[in-house]
Amino acid sequence: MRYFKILFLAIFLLLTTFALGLTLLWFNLNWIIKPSTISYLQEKFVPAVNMEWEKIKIDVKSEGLADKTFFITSSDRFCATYKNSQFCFISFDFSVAIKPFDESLWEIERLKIEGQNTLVAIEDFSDPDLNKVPMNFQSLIDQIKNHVIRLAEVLPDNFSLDLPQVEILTAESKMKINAFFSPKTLRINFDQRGLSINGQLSFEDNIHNLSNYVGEFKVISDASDLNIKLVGDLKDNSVFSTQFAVEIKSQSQIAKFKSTQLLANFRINLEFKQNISLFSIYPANIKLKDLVQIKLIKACEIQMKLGGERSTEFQCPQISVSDFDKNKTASQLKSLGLIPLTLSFAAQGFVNEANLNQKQGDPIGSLSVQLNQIQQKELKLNAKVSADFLSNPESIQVVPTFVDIKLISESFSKLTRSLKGTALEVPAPLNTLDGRIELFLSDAQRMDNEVVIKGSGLARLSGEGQQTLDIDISNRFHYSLNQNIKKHFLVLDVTINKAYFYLPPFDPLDGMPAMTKDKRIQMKEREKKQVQRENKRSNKTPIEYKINVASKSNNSIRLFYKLFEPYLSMGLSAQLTPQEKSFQINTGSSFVIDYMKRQVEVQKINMSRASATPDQFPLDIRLRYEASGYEIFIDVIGHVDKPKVLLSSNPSVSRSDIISLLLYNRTSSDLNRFENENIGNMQSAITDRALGLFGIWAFASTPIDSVSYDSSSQVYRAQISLPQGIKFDIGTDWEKTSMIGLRKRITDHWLVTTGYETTQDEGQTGNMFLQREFTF
Amino acid sequence: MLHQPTPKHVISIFRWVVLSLVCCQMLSLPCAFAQEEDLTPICGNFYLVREGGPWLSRLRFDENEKIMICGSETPGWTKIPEDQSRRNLEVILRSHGYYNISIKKKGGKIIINKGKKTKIGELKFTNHPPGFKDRVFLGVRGDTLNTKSLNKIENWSAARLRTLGYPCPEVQSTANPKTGDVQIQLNPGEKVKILKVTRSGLGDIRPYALSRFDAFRMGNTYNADLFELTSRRLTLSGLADYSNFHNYCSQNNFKNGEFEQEVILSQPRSLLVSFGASTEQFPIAKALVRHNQLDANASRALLQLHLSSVEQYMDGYVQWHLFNNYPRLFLQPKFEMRRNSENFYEVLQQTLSTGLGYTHDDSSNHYFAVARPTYNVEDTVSGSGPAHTSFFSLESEFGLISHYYEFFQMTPREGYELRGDWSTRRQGLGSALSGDRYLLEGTWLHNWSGFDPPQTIFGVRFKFASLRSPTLQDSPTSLRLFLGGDNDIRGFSRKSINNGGLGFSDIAYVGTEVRFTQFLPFKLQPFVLIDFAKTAFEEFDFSSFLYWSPGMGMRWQSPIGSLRGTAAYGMTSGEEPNDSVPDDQWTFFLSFGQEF
Repeated sequence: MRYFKILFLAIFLLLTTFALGLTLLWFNLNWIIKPSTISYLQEKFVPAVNMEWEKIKIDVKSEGLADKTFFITSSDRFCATYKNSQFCFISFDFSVAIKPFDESLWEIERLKIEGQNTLVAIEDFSDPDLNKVPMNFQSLIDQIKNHVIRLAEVLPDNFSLDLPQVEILTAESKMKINAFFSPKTLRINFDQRGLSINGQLSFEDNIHNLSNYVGEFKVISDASDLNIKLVGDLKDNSVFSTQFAVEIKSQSQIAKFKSTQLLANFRINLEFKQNISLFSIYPANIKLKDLVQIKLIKACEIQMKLGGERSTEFQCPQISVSDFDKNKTASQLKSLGLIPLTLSFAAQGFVNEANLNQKQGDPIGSLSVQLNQIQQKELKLNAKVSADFLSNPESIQVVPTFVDIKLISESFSKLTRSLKGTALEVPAPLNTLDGRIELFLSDAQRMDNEVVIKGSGLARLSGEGQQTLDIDISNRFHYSLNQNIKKHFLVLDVTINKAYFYLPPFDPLDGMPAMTKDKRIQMKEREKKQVQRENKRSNKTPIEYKINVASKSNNSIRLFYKLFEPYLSMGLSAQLTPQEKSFQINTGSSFVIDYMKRQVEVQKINMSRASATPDQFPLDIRLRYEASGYEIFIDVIGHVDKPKVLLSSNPSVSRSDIISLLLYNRTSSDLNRFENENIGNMQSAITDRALGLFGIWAFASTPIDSVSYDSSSQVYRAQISLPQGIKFDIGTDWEKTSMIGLRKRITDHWLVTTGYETTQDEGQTGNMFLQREFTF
Repeated sequence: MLHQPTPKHVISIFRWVVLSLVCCQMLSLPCAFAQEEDLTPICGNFYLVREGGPWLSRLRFDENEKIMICGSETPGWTKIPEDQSRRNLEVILRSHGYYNISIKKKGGKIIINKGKKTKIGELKFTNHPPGFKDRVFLGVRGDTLNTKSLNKIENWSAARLRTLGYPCPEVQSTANPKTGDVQIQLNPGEKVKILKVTRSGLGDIRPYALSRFDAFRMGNTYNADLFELTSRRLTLSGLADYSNFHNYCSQNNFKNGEFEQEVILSQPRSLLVSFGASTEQFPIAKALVRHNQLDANASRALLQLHLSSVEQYMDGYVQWHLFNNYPRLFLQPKFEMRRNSENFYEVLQQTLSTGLGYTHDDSSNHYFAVARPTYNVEDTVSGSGPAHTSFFSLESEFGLISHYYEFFQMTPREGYELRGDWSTRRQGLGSALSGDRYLLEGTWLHNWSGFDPPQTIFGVRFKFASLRSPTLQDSPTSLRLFLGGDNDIRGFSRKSINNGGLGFSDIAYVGTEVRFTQFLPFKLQPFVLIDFAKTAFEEFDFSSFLYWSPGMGMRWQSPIGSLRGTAAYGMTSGEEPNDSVPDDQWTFFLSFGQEF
């Protein structure tokens, strides 16, 4: 018994001491809970973690007998590393209350973390074995759901988690996240190469009540912009119901006209009216396709904005028909040059596997777009296009299944007026024509590896005077389904039945006005880059084309001009492909150029351009001129830039005589010295091919007074007599006229000459004479 | 107390307002009266913002350009869409040198602000051959950057390459409209030598006969200027109306050094009747008969009658090219009858001579030499010369002229000329007295910095003549040496330094001139000059007495030749040798065609 008492006393003393010690420690927890102790424990038990505990301040505050509140704060920047990950914080303010006698046992009172650089290296993701295990979305969602609910329960009323720069490194990519989390807001900015997500989730009350939330997220990628709006609530633990709206913005350039780019912006707003309980409807064994059939039948107002300097925009900003005030908008659109179109969509999407892995070639959706008939004054447009979307390993393939487009303009002039002031304005002289235009596209036939869409069109236009444009068009569009040959092919055949136009009434003596920009003068930065961009773009175009233009006969094209009697008629044959541009022009019947009381008959003009020699335009022109009983033939052959002139006559005379007849209506034996010099100059200009086409025409069709030719610079100048005795001088250079003896013609035979004369005793003396020369 | 405005005040204010408005309009100066936006109608609704007054705003659209912008009554072109008009307008304005165009619409008007005109900036030549940069092209300095000026640059570049041996060059230019800088890519092609010239269009004339006009030799490097010079010589001789050399770039003949000279021969005989004036004589009436194709070597005969107030003469000669294989060698029998009337003498002179001459050309110069045994008869009607003298003399003449001096003879800019003349007679050889006259004169012109067209031309000319005769009194008047006039010291009137009509034993003259060719507009070229001259009464015994004349002048390159005027002040310094020295004087010359 005595031993028992001693034992009891000893145990009592021990327990009392232990209890007293514990009590003492309990009331002085800061004796043991301090950075050095924690650092020791962490190194002992969690050696993989490395923390700068010395920068952390730990305080313990007693509230009542049992409750303790721990304050863990850091006012200085500190970092923690785990393996290759690093977490750095600017400030850390965390307090947790321990309530031994309370049901919740512990409660986070304050949480305010302001992070700085956070680098998270996720090595496990690169583990090849991990990828082999099929991901169970259901369990993942369950876990996330439980964590969210649990977290919502324990988080304090006032907390904030600010992680401005979190980098998540995986074996394949690098992501940047900027996150902020508070009771009412969850804001996340996510940025990966080529993809960024910015968004915010706001809770109506706060996260503890699992109240309604509203979220807006913007996904920006290289291809398109995506705006996602979420509206939902977290009340029901089993189902997160949500509504969401997705806005897709995409911008791409689809076509260009000459130097003018046609820019097209597509923006489609899709709005889901029904609530979709995305998480709850996902039993693993049931195919999503069976449960979800997203069918949208919505109308979209497409506004084609045709104004602007250089661009044309197509916009589809509103899907909500109810919001669209047709009358109001139509008037606005008119003034802005907008054409409202009404489209109907029918889209269907399929997902046949839980993990979204489709078999190659499986249809994953279809789209049918119907343009409700537009029947305005000038235009009728019907269009219906359907396409299937097939799954492919790398992309989704679009396969047209039905095409039926009809565009009819009963009055081209009204269409012209509608397009007035827009970038698609019809240019002169076409803008004065009126008549009918039809364009049809139909019949999408599926062949082996392509879909062939056929089409046709016509234009029957006429205008003031004899202006006529009568053409037929047929086309075939080969849409390639072959994955290896992604280029599609367009064949367009244009037949010109009649194309009669008037040339502007230019006066040849004023010279041809500049028609095109001199390519030698270009804005280095802007224009060069634009040319490069256009070249690149044309190389990248996925559509190959071949356009064949052919006139029905050599009289199908007629050009009326004040000097042509009656008109220039010709035929045209042209082939245009991205690689080749060739054409051939052949005149039909001859015509007469009547100018300055001289008549030259143009017997033929053949001109062509071959793809092999793109910078050269072979010519074959024959002009006929009658003078003093001689028939003179001027054959212009060679190329446009350096034409070769062959002269012949009937009866046959020498070349100088021909030129003499051409210029003076006399043979060279009847010419004076000065006239002979002009003949020589012209002969040289012709021989050196210094005369361009216009020059040849001018010489052939106008009375020339004098010709000077500088063989060194190969520049010719001419003086032409105009009616009423006016002399038209083309750039006579006083310095160049003659440098040894200068002669200026006053009349047919009288000249003014100046020159030097060297005399024996006077040296050189200058002189000027009025001179008359007789030759014999 | 306020003053009442008087009429004088009102007039002053009115003047100030008018002057200010004129100022604003003409010079585009900012002033209170300037309108906010002054518009000039182009056509239709298009208006141009006028920058500068009506005298400074020179942009004019011709009728064709207006058709491009606003259309016309021709069917199809009555309504040009605004966008098309704008594009056309932009292209047209670019062709006028405007690249910073802004277009705005205001109250139904389309207002175009053409912006600042871009001028040609720096010219950067790439791939230029050696020697190309010896000439600096300034022909487009201050010009507008447009197609015309680029063509001008390309033409000049090609022409320059053609003077350096490259007959078929290719030139491509690109320009930056912001800075006006032009990059010229040269592709000179093959450098060739002249190895063969074929001549066509000669009828009965031997082709080789025409080689006497050649300004080159076979084997010389190709130079288009020398071909041009050859052609000019030929036409100036009257033998041909036209000549030109072709190289047929497309046929590649030039690579073998083969060229073709195309000639249009003149009619063989011609009669020229002329009325005019020369530097020293006014008026002049001339009649000339010539035959340029006496034989297959194109020998020529000429008979000339010249009538003026100062001199009247008739001369005739035959230039006979005897040898088929030596076309540059000629025999020249000649006669001349002349009457000279100057202020202080009047002389009748007849000469009969037969000359033997030869010419030569290399790639730089033309050389000539003529020796002419001459029989002279001279009568002095008035003056200090012998009343009647006849003697036999040998006249020799030689010299060289650089090709570019000859090439630019009407617009002198570079090159040199040197001429020598020796006239000798010997007692016993048809002459009563022995005597010699030597003359050496030359001109050198330098284009400062090698600009093309030249900016500043520096010229020096000299003359040295010596008369070796027993006495000055016995010397024929035609051989005597005088000074003064436009040909030597310009501060003294014609032959006014004459030693009382006796002339001098020796004369020496040096003159310089600096001409500024681009300094003034309208092709007006001012110049400054200074001439120095010395005389000797006995052989080489030049006294310390110096004649000198600073002055200035103006040259105008008119459409019919150069018109020059000089004003120089003739002065003397040193001890006067005798009383016959002219007084210090201002002398003015106005001349046609005469150059330094």
